[in-house]
Amino acid sequence: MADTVDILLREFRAGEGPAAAIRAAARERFASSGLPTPRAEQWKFTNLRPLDRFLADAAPAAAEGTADIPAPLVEGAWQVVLVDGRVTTDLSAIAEAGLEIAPLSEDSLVRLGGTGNVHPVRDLSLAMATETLSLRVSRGATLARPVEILFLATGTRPASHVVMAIDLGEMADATLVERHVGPGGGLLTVAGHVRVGDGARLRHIKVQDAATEAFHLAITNGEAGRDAVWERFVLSVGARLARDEVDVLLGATGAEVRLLGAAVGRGNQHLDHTTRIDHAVPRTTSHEVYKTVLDDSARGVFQGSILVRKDAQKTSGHQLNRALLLSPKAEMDSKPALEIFADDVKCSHGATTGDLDEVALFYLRSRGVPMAEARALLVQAFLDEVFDGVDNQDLRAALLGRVHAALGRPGEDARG
Amino acid sequence: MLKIENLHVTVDGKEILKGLDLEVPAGEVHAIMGPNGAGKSTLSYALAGRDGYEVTAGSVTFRGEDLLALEPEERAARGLFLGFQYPVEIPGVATLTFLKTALNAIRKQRGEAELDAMQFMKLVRAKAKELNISDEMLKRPVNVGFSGGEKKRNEILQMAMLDPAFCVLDETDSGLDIDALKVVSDGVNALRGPDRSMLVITHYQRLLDHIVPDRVHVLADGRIVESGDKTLALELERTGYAGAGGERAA
Repeated sequence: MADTVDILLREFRAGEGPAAAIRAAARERFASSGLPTPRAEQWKFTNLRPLDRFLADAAPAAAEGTADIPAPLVEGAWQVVLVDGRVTTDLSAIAEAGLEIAPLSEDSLVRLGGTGNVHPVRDLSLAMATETLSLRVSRGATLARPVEILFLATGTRPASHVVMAIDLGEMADATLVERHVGPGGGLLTVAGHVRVGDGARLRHIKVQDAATEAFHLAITNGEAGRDAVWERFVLSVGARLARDEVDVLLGATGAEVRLLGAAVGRGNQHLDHTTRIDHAVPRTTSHEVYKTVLDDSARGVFQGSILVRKDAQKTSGHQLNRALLLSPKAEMDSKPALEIFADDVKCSHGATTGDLDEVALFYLRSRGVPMAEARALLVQAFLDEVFDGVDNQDLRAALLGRVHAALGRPGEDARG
Repeated sequence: MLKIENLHVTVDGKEILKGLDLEVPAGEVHAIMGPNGAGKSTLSYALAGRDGYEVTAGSVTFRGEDLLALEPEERAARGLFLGFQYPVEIPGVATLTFLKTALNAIRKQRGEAELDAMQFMKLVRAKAKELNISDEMLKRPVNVGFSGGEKKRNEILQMAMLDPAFCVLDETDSGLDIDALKVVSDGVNALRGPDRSMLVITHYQRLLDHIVPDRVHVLADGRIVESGDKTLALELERTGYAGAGGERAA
């Protein structure tokens, strides 16, 4: 993979100032470790080798990529647009009390560079960042409008890298939509940091709807304060290969994280959801439901580890992972891992992989519902529980509509 | 309306129906009675077109058309309805959604305009009321957590909504107490008419006190072994199936 690493790091500029050292260190680490291979336990099921060929062939993409900017998923939301990994929105036009969106300061970048475990995707994003973004909601503020961060890929560059920090102050309340769309293939890496302050609540909805030639690698490190709630929902329908990784530290009493995920893969898509939750102190809560639907030769991966440390009594940790295979060639790898060192905890996990219920399918058909429609209805029913986690009804309807389109017949352009 | 000739059906490599003949004219209600394992459910599933019920010989003609050449959804659109012995639970799909999807799918196949939400609700409320089905029940996922009686009433509601020409009711009485049996039977009787035929499959005579058939057939070992009028059901109740097709019908 040495060539790939060279290509990825080719345009590295150290720059000046304190952040430069952080970036240089990340570059060094990435250069020496390279892209992870399936020999690494955490990457056993997701092979990044396809990136090799993609980057080697990455003849400079169309210099004049264009794409229309879609309206926000939630009407009236603030929209921050990144075209091929660079902000194009006039951020100063976003004027709401308690909300501040800006490039990351040097100090913030230095601080973020030092948090979280060493991770190849973080290192690559830090070293090569085409953009940095900071979204802050000040203490006690409740945002009147959701914020949508729209990543639009038009294909002008083979790889884009974004470092993004979301910071909610004490008792703040916000809804964030992170949305990946556009016709451009290419690699996008996102290193995200989420901090939800004491008593604050963040609803975080990610929609990964990239082009089917795209590669999408994201790592989000999250931290919830005392009695804070981080609700995260991810819908993955796009990309040739995508990994959405979340690493959460529940380090204050009463902290709660809810991770919901829905993935719909077809063709030869590879969709990976990897989560790690660290219950570090007593009385914290995690709740995870990930559901994956795979058709054709698509592959799905779910890795979910929950760590309950020795002192973390009264932890509640529940994880459910279910996959529905619509084709005999579809494949799902599921690896739950619970490490529990405290004795007074309520933890559970469940993982199932199955086919569509043939009897239910026949029941629907016997009532006149054609095969394709019957399948779509059962698939939606399978995913329903996850979408119940999206409070906003308009948003929920829009996302379900997208899932419906994605479940159209292979080869059809289902993008709507 | 429905004509079955020399029907042979194999399930899991085992022949269950072994040359079944049956004809049901328009407007008539026929009952099929028989002991367990005679092939009653196999007949209903084969008519509805379930996978795994392989027709190895014979024919089924429905309103002049080869029924066996059609997909299950096409059979439904042509007017065939199967009331399931064990109605299927579908978690995550509300009963209303299920009914609306089915009704509009059938209307579409028949070249009729689909109903909008308001037209649909008006229709479903009227039909549900007759069967004593509450709004709350209609909002619940299809058959999930329903009692035996609720499941069967839900089947009859579907039948009333889809307005079929031919209804196969497979052991509709199983799992019902006498009150539920009455509600379900009244629902079925309300749908009787000169243009609609029914095939009522049952193990017990009890149901036929409520849904009085024009003809009764005895199914044993994959064939119709005896046919008669409604008094045959009473006779069977007295003598049991052992003698059927034997001394009386030979």
